[in-house]
Amino acid sequence: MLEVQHLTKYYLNTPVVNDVSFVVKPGEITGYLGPNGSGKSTTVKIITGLLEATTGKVLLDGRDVREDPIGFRRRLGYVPEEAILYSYLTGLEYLQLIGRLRGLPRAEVNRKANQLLDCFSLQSSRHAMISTYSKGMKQRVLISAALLHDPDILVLDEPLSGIDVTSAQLFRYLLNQLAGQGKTILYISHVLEAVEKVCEQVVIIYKGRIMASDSVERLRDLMNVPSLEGIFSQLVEERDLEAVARDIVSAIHS
Amino acid sequence: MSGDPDRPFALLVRHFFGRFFDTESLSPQGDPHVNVNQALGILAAPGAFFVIVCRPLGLWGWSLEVVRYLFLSISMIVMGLIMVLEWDALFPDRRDYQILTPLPLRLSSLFFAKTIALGLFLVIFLIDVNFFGAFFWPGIDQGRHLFNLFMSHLTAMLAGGLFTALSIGALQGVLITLLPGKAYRRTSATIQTVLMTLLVMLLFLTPLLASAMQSLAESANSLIYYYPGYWFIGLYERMRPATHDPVLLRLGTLALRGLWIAAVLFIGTYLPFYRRHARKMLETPEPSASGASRLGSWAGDVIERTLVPRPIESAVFHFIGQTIRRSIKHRLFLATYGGFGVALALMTSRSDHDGLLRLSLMLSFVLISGLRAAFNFPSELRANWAFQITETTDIDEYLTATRKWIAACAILPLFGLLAPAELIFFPWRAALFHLAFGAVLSLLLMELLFLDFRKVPFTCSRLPGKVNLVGLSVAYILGFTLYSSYLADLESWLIHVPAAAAIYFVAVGAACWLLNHWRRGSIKTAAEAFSSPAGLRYDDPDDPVVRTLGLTQ
Repeated sequence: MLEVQHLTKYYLNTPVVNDVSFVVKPGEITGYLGPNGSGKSTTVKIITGLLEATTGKVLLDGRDVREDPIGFRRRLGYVPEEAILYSYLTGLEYLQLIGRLRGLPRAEVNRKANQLLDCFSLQSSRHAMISTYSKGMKQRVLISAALLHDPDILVLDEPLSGIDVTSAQLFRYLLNQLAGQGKTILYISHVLEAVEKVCEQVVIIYKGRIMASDSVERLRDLMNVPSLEGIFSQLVEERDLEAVARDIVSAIHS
Repeated sequence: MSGDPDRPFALLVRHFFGRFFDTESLSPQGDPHVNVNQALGILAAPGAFFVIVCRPLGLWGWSLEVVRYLFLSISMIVMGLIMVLEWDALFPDRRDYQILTPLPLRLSSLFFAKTIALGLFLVIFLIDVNFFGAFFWPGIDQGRHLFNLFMSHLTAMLAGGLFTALSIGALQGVLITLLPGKAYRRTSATIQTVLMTLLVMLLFLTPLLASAMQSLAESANSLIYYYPGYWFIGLYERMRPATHDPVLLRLGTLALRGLWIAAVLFIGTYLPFYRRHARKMLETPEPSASGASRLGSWAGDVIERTLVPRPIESAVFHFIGQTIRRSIKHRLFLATYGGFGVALALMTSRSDHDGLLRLSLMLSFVLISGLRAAFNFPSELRANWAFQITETTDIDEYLTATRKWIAACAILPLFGLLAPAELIFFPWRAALFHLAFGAVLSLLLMELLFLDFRKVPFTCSRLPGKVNLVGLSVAYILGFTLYSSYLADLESWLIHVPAAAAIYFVAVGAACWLLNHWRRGSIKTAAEAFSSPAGLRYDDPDDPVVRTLGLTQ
């Protein structure tokens, strides 16, 4: 079980993540929702060890991950928010690099990398440099890299960004199967429909603070709204969006 | 440069001008405006320096020709270096086309804006490089008619610089005209690297070429006709004779002819193939059907089985090779060191037997220090999260992989390349001893230079301006001199005393082992001090806000 306890991160005296706590249980897909700039990716970077928290801690099976960061990383698969890869490597070379860095034997790396590229329809482009890939192709390489070492914990930050409908559907099936195998999955997104289709639990963050943390069903009942979009609008959106749209149109015409 | 924001064409010119300072090879992470000022300042400095040195000398005849050559060489080589660094910016790149093509702009507007920006860019740098030289030249040349002195100097310098710039532009134009997209991309990168090596080599050979000019001209040696630097000395001589040498005067004709040919080729290829280039840039390259060749796969397998059997070693080893092969910035950086090395080799090969002994040591010093400097420059820094997130083992494996790469892909090939020359110039026993002596010493040098290098090459950020250039230069010059000179003397002695030679090899082996042991110990100590595994460095530590004297430590 992955637990985030009272996580706070300050940038220049401004808390971008403020006393955030939630739990991600094995076998469940937990959605972490919030509008742009709400602190989702900062939380994720702290969980993965790319950033240090100002206060608070991340526990894995009750143990602070800082006690054994290497052990934690061995069990972690991560898809970052932005598809930043070594663009001069080919798709296959990138997976080989990650597989080797994960300590996998050579034959296993090659076999798994080719299999994953094939499953994600990248086989024909495996020898092309990543700089020539589309956004969706890069995203599929990142997902493959995150799964290569069969991790127990998956942290997926906007994994469907730029991905086509078929691949997105495939990915949703994949996540359900992985959750069925007992993996701990944290799914970060601002696309509510995707989260609603995939996640049992959701955590909603707004301006660095947790606004809600419960199952989608319970939140619907509690707030008496039929969809996650309705819940989200009630919790985080303070603006009259129709009025903003009118302002945009008048700005275009002015 | 200022552009009128209300006029799209002026804005385009300004945009393209700014993009010349925004190339990966010139300013990997810098501010373009700072780079303009820095570049102009740095490039004006050599001319000013030579003016100060040469003004009191009162030169004439061949001495005057030599100094003319120094100025001309700087003008030509600097313009060449600028064009090589701007190689990918001569035509609008993919990003330009993707952003500008959907806008209501004609391709001809893009072309003329780019051409004007390029012209401005070249003129500014030409004037900058030659400003002090031309302005104060009348004090160096003792002749009369100050205006004539000034104008003939300026004309020769500008003609020489323009020739180099146009030749390199024309070379790219010809390549883009003749080669299909994929072949162009491959060849272009190789030619850019070769040109960089060549220009840096010529820069360091400038004094040698200047001093060789008189003997080449007086003996009417045909070699003098093959080097464009001498052509423009000929042009200068025609405008303002200093020696009245007939060979130099004939070379002036070649300069004019060369300038015309370069200009015609440049205009003839740059203009018509602009449209074709635009199409090529917007087309996504076809993925290669196959990966590594059969030989490449076999070599990769052998390396993985024998040299880097552990997965992390293998990852880092391949990553270093792939980055050096494919990163323009790193290739050009290493080409600079390569040019320096080739210049040293050429200068040394002219000298005596001891010079040949020093050659391999000099080259290995340049190679290893060059690699260390290149490894410090990040490549696609933001992608280093992949290393951070997967760091799951003792960092010694990462560091060992770096050493193995240097030994297998740099030191071994260097001595392999030198071996035939060694076997030609020395008896085979002496040649083998010399190669073994140099290779073993190179390994020790690598251990010393990489003692505190706790990173995966190309993955750590680098803050500009932190390096103490003066201190570093002194250390390198001292190290270089001691390493190549004194150790060549030691070798000359060792070869005659087998017992001492055996002790030398054992001692170097022991020193390598001790340095490795010390490095591992220091990593362990750091880990114990912080109660966590000592990790790799991904961030160059910034200077503290307040620097204390450390008296309480």
